[in-house]
Amino acid sequence: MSLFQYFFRKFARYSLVIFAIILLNFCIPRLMPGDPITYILGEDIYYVAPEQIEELKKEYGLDRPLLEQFKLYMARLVRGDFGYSFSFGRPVIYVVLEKLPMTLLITIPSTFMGIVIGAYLGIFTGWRSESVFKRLLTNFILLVYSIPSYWLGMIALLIFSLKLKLLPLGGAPPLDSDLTTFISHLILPIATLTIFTTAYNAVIMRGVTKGISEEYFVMTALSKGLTKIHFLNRHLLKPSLPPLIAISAIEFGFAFSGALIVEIVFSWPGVGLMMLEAIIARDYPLLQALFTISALIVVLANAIADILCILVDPRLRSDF
Amino acid sequence: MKKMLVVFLFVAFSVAGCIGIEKVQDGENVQKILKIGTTMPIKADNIFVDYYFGILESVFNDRLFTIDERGKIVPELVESWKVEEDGKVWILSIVKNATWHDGEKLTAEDVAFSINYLKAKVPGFKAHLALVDRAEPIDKYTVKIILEKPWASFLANLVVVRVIPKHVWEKVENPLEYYGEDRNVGSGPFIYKGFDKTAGIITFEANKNYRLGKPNVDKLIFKLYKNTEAELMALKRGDVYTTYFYARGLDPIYVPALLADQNVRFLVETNFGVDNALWFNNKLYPYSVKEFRIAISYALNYSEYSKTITAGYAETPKAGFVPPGWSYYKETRELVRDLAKAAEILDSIGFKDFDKDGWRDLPNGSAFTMKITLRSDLPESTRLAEMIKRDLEEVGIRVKLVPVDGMSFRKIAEQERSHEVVISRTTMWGMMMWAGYGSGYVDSRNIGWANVEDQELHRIVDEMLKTTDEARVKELAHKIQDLYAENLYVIPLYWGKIIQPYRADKIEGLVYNPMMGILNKKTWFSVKVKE
Repeated sequence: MSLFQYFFRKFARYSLVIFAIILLNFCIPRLMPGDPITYILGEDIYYVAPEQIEELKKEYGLDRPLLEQFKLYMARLVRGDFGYSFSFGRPVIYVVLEKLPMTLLITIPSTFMGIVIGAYLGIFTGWRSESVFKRLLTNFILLVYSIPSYWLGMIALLIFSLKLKLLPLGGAPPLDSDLTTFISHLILPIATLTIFTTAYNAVIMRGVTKGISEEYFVMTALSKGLTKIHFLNRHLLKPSLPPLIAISAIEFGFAFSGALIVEIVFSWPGVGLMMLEAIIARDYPLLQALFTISALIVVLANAIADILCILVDPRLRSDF
Repeated sequence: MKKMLVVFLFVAFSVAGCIGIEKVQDGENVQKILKIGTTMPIKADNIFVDYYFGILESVFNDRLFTIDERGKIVPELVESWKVEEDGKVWILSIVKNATWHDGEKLTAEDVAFSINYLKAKVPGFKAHLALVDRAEPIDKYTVKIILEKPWASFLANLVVVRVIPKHVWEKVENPLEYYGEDRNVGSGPFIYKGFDKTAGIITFEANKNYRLGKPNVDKLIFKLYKNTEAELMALKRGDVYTTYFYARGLDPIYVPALLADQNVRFLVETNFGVDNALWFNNKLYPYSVKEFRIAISYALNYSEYSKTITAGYAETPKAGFVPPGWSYYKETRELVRDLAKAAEILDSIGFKDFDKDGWRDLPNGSAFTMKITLRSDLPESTRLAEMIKRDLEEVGIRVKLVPVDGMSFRKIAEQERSHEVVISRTTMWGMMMWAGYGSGYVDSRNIGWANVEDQELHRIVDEMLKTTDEARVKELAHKIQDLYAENLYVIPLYWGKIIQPYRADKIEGLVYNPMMGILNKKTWFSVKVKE
């Protein structure tokens, strides 16, 4: 199989996944009991006159046959028109664009740091893991991994914000804030998210490293007398990268759908919280948009991960 | 690794060191700022879009009528009023010194426009103004509201009607999508200054030209929190001086932790709403059987609900449902637990364990399970439902709990009325709806959680809707409470208190209002922010 064929097949597969996601997003409200307009209008349906409902149905093309509706839905999607959010009182796209940067402000740095620190911690604890210190460290990582994030966030607030009065009690920085205020608002949410991402990645990487460390090429590399750093980076980290890349892709993908629990604890106005509010308010246009965007980004991140894996792992290139 | 940790801690502590205590100066004067924490999920600063921002509207806009601290309807923008044609025509005289924040005069034109506009364009007001035919100005300060048919308690609806400036809104075709700079121009004691959505801060400034004088504080700030724990930490730290949530006080489970803080004090006030009640669908068998409902009432452990759910900040309710504090409240029999009596009544009406499986069956021998729908968005509902289940199972009634979110609850209990029994609460405003005294939730012709079609109840409600004579209103109020007590269409589970925490070292002079809580005129003119 040539490289071109390989990418073409991948592209076709992802296109199919994206189509399935869009189709699901189209079908779910229509498969649910009642009229989709109920979900668009939410509780206001009780107060809207029947003729207004008919008008709205016409506007959304809901009075047409299903196939025609699907074509209309696709056309709106291509134009980036996700409809109107009734609970936020604005077009969906504006609401999403308002919240997404806030989410990325905390999820991107924490995902990045969590991957890097977690990878090194995992390799460290996975390589010759018999030592007492490494066992203790592994148990500590597992402990952190199993602590509920809500609890950890609350403890962080209690210590750093209430008792020590060092950091704010939540909320994103005000629009007119200076750099120090800006950073102070970011510290606790990012730290909490980083701790969890680190623990998760460390657990995964520890398992991968343990598996690789029993391979013959590792013994060969050691017998050559390489320095520890050189050995770690070249012979241990590199073969462990494909699974790490795959996990990271998913994590970066999910970074766009927010971090609900952390957003609630730190009153952070991000996408996760918005998704919860959209569910409570039955804001289906907003939910549809959020699901579609999140799913597309996860698919995109996976596609990038596939390419990166081919670049770092020569075994995957052997077929070309 | 070590280096990264050091860098992180350095950044954290140097940043933290730069955060000082806020002291705002306006020229020579230190501004007095009242900071209020809230967990109300405010998303948009348009009163017609966001229900909870609509609650804050009372801060920057005056209404035609309001509620005083004893729960009585009193005029606000209205000076005097009279009713003609037996409640079909309402004539209101408006105060002459009210102005909008942009300097324009508030006149009868604005009031008439508001009523007609809200009815035509804002879905949420269609129900409140359902019987309004039209409103028209008679002169500059007099407005006439013509109803389609007489409606004695129409005044209660005017409590929620928003009076909006005609010169701003007449050009707005769809108020739900309007975000012009002038969207929050009001006539109230504070002027809306903005909503920083990222920081979750809503700011108001004192209206120096307010008709009743300038409020005691220069600035009013609402800080939004997404969880009560963080909000209360902010209270303990002094970031906010009090908290607010519409029609709800502090959940009593948080009180012990706050009692340890000597700076935190509480206002403990009468709740004019019913915190939690068991609403039977009176149209469905066996809930349509009066004796069955009475038997259930004897199986419930009211004192335990009060002790466990409200930490004692409640009292055992009376069968008459309507809590004390309301004008024309009537003392009815106290609800008590008596398992023997419950069993005796159930036996007498044929609800026995025919198949000896440990559960009571219907009189015809078929198995019976009581389905109780509860609201998962109200945390205390779940705890309460578990206790009710346990209590009913003690008398052999098998119970299935069905938790649903707020929106599903409304669909099941209001739109479809497919529920058997629900656990839910009423606000003060909820108690005032329809003919008042909770009738809106009881009567099948209104919201009707209890779905009651009893002709006697309908007759009383109909007369209450028409009567303006106070003596007769009192008589009817007593009658409806007697009817509730006799029939137990709905069983109140406890009458709770409203707990309002505040920082005594930062503020004093908060006044509680049964409808709007601390957000009321009396607070604005009596609250003092300590230096």
